[in-house]
Amino acid sequence: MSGGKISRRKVLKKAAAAAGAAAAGAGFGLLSKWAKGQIAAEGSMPGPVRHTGRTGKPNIVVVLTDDQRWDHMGCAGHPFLRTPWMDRLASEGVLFSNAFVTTSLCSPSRASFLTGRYAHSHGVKNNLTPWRDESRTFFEYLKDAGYNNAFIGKWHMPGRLPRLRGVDRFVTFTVQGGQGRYFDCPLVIDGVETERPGKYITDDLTDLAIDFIRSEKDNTFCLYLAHKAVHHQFLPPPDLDGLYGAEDLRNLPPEYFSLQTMADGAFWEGALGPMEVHYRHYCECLVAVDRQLGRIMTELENLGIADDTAIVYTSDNGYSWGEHARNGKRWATEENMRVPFMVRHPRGIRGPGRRPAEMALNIDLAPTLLDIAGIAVPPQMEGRSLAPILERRPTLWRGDFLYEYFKDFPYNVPAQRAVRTGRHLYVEYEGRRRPELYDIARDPRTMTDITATREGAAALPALRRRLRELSRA
Amino acid sequence: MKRRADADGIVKRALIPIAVSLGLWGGLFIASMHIPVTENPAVYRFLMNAVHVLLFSVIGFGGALIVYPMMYFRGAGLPERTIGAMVTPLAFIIKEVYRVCEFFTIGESLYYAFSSMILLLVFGQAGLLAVSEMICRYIDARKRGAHTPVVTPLPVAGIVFSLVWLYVLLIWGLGVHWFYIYQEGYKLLFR
Repeated sequence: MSGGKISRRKVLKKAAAAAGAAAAGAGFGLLSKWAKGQIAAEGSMPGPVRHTGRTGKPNIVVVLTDDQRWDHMGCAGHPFLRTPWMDRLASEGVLFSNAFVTTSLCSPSRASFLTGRYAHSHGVKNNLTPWRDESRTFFEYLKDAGYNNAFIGKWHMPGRLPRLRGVDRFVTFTVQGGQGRYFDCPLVIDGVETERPGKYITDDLTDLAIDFIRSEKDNTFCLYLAHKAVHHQFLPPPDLDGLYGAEDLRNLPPEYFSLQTMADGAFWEGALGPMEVHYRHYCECLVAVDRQLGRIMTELENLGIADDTAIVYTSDNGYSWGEHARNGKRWATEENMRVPFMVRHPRGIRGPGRRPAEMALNIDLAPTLLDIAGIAVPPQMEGRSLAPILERRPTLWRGDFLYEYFKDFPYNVPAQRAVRTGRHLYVEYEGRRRPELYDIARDPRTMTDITATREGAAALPALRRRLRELSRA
Repeated sequence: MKRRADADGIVKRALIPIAVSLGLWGGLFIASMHIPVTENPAVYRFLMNAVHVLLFSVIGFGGALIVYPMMYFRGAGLPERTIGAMVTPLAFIIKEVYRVCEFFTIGESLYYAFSSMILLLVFGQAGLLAVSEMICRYIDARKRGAHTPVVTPLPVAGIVFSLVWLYVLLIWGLGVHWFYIYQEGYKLLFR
């Protein structure tokens, strides 16, 4: 791709200029960075970054976890969880410190990642409403642009398995309503039911992902790896079981208690028994995910394509571990809506290690992938490409977004719509529950409803109006 | 067990045992709503866990282990003590249906009463009442020195019935299989 060559030339010019200043020792550092492929990201050149993969377009690897909170990574400040590979992604890439999902529930959020659309647009409103085959995913556009694509992992949308257009390899599971099992989970590999005795699902899916990467190393590819982990039943692999068995759990909120997993309909979340046991397993499952992420990153490096590959790491929603005396993920709270969202793309970002505060959403994934692949973002996508933020280009960014949750029987959560701004979270519920307003800046745990305060009264009209606008859009 | 002719009046043999169980349930339920998060979260956590253990116990076992024996030894007949033992679980179910109608339509809320945990509560009572009946018979027989048969086909059938449902609702696929059957039922009825 010519764009790529120009960029490389510019880089070489810079490197040459830097070499002139080698006496000061600066040149070696710059050349070293060039050799590592970091210079484009750290440079201050204006204009868009050119992606200089061997085919002119970057490979894409999306790793999607399930129910992983934004703050459950070492690099997000978790007190005991060790996730060196996630941390490396953050330090070598960009970690969006304000990343959210527009619906905190598996099926709708997954459909949003794939289509770039809100749940009310793509139609997968809860875990009961089926995927519409006419929905267009980013795979279709990537395929048209020459990508070979694989979907490996959790599909979990109601209805029969789709014939995903644009996907060359489709590996998923249907057991337990599409939730899969941690151990011995049968897979449907390109339509063929396959037993997987003795396999741990995070490792098994990663094995298949690595096979795909190896088979496509000379092509341009997109791998979408959607883990079952770290959804319940939170079962870690045997060698990690007990890793955090002795950790102090002071990071859990003061209002949690062990048996809330069974109180007031919380048992639907499927985590019966003491919360501490599940929480420790949840963290151990995350270590297993991190380990497998490391295998993928190492494989890309070994194949010499790491710098030509954009890796996105995110989750379908967060999870509450006792906040507001709840466990689960459906309510419009920070714990549930916020997710990890990291992009490592050596040739496509500037300033690795940054943590931009712009709001990144699940609906932004599809447009971002298309954008970095040089494909025009289709108008039906409601998200926005994050490429300008990755490339540090000046851009006017969103200041709020719509959160929506549709009734999902029998889960004990009312349908709700919310607007989340940089400052406030305003939530309206279906049914008899009154609207709530929180000052996120002062009360990030959303403990104090300020609707009845002077500040709340002042903020409410604009927030109500904005919620109507966003809902209509 | 007192003979029918010696049975206590309905207040003593039925209403008081039922009231004891309902009162315990109500008191614990209210307590569970009002325990404040204290400066020392460990204290709060201990109290909440203790209250919930007792609360779950009263809902699940109160009918069989409190109401049923009280009524048995006060002369209530089998149908009477069975109904009496079911009052607390049924009150809990009604409370749950009311609670979830915040989220669901009336029809959906009623269907909620057929969910696995509630079915388990109801079907589990058969086994628990059967165990309670046999314990009462044993104590009664020892007290009176009579040779009352403790294990008879009816309580054994009750235990088997409960164990089958325990398997179907909770053990089979760790409860997930029944959950999806239940959800299919929901789709048929409401979508």
